Amino acid sequence: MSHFDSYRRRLLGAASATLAGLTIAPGVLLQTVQAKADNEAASSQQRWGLLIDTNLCEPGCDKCVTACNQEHGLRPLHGPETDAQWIRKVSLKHKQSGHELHMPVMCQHCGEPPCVDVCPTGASFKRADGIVLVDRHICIGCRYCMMACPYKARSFVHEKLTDQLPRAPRGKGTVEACTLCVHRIDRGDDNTACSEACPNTAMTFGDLKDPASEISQKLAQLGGQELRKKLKLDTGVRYQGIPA
Amino acid sequence: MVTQRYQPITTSSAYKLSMVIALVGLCISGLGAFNMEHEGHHITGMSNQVIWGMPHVIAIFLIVSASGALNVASIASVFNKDFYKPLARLSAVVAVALLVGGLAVILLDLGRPDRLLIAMTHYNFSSIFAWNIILYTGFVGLTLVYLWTMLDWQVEQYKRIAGIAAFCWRLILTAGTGSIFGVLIAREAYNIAIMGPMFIVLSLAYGLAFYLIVLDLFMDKEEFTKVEQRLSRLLVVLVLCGLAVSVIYHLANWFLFDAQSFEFFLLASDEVYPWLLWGVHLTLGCILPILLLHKHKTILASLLVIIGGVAQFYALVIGGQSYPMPLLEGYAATSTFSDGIIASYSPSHWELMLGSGGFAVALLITVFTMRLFRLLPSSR
Amino acid sequence: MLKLVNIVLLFLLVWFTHSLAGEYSGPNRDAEGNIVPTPKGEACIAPVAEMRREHMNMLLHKRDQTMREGIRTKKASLTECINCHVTPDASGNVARIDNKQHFCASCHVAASVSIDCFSCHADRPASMFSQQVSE
Repeated sequence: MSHFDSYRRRLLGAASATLAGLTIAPGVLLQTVQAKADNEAASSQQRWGLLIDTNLCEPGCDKCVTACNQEHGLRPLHGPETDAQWIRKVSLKHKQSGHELHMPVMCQHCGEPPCVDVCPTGASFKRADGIVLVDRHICIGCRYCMMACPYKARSFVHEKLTDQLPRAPRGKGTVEACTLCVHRIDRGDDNTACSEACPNTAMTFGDLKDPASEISQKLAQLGGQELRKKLKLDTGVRYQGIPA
Repeated sequence: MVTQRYQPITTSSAYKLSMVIALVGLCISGLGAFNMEHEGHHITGMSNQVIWGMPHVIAIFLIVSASGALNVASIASVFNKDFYKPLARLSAVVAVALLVGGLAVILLDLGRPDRLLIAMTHYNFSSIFAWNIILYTGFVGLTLVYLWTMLDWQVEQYKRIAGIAAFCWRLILTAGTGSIFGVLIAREAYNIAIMGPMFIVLSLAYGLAFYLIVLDLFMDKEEFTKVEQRLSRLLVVLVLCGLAVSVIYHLANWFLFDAQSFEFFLLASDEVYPWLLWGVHLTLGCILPILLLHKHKTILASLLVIIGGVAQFYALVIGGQSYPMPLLEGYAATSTFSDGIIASYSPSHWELMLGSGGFAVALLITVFTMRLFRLLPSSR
Repeated sequence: MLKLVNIVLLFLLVWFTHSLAGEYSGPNRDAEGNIVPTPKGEACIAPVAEMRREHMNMLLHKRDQTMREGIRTKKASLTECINCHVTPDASGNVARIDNKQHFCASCHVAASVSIDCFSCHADRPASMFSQQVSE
């Protein structure tokens, strides 16, 4: 695609957004996520993220994990050491006080993703809207991204797979991770499988760049921390209720 | 001045035995690699926690050694020492052989080795790994050119410049290999700038050890005794250098980078790593060879240096991965995905088979080239 | 004499390689000449000749657009190709990719061009997964 095309698309997108704003009566707040058209490319006007409130996350509950496995056709195969886990429930206990925390951990969709920096072929990449993905068409399976990921968020497919779902193609010898349910985002859904499944609504999905979005408003109200924030990775997944 | 003459090796029993060992090793590793690729990596000991296993340990060790094997040639050309000049040809060949052996193992351990073409056509220039692919192929090319200038009197005048180029390139190459680990901010074991220089220093002794074994096996006995003492003294010095830089690595981790608990895990826990570092690397791989070299047991001493080196890289590569990453400061983590626990790893025989192929390829290339070309100095 | 042996050997070689390659007669067709299994819908996104020549380029172009930019138009999307061209028979079964009756395999086996798509992608229409989706 030429630069001209991408410029034109952005211009058209902006124009149609303005038009939509004009047609709605003033004072009416649009709550739905702006669905992008099929032929529209992901744009850097958005940055998708998740906010996880650890106070609402219950110990022992793994509904988000089950939902993710269901959504992407992840099945137990050769044991927990080698099976893919795109999202996992982690329990944390403070070494001195004994304070307990529970949270789901998945790909943090970093703004400065180490996996993208180290990938020799460019298979690891960040989409314009901030989603970090693996292009498994050019992944050679070197697993250097897994070495580089500070969150152990990636899994290597250790065996031949069959009966993958049409929306979640995956295969032997390549690396994969949470896609932030990119197939849902692209069709305009306002949730991910995990956030939808959470009985306590501990997970909020939304556009970090839209100040009116629920996620941005919650962040503005109570803030949100990054895991391993010393690494300064500008993660798209933020946590509430963990020490600053 | 007497013109130095060179000769190819004869079909001695050492030659025949090496060829048989190399070919058998090649078959074994082929079987291992085929099965790993056919079944997928679940038949190995590697997992989503210990991501790089035994094949990487061996491959990285061979690649690091390759750069060190060029020592003798570098001393001859860059530092212009006449004593080493007749020995330079073989040094270049061993360097290329070890590198190719290491690369073959890395390639066959990929999840998709069939996508080699993608690896060679899609470059992400912010990746140190992508740069290393260029560094490796460049090293092979440059060293072969250097070898050519040594073999062909018509291009002899370029020998020094080619030697210097190869020398510089190999310094960058080994620093690059070390940086593969050095840039990993995620893990305590590797996020340390010393990885690059450390790999350079470590390479010196390991490469020379490989070189000395080949020399001892195939060089004219009479000729070998003339060079043995000096080369084995060099090996002693380089082993001590390697030891020193390893000590610096651990001290830096302990004092500068606040990684005491990781160092404790590596050096004093009840895992396998303290055994590997104190027992195999320090005792068998450093102290014992130094004693043996005094007794002129060159092959045995060199073999021990190599074994010690593999043990050290095992502790560094596997140990560095199995040590858990902290998710939240001050908190101990538990999960279904091995958070907060030391990941276990034991190499499966498929991995060991594949890894042995690296040595086999290196041996095959070295011995076959020695048979084809005049690489070793002749006494007559 | 030697010449004769050579000719015989050459003949055998040609015969052998020929039998290996087989004769390409296009995809499997039923009595009316329709490709088996019958595609859904009225027409493909381009004439048959163009599709035969260009489908791989179309798929590749679409692949990168979808993967890298999130453009999810249906034209030349692998999922949509499969939805249309791999249709269940009366008893609700479809040929899988390892079966020569599968739309893609029907040509690719004959043409001896191995494809890597289906080690990751679904070789069956999305409708066949609806049960798993609603679970």
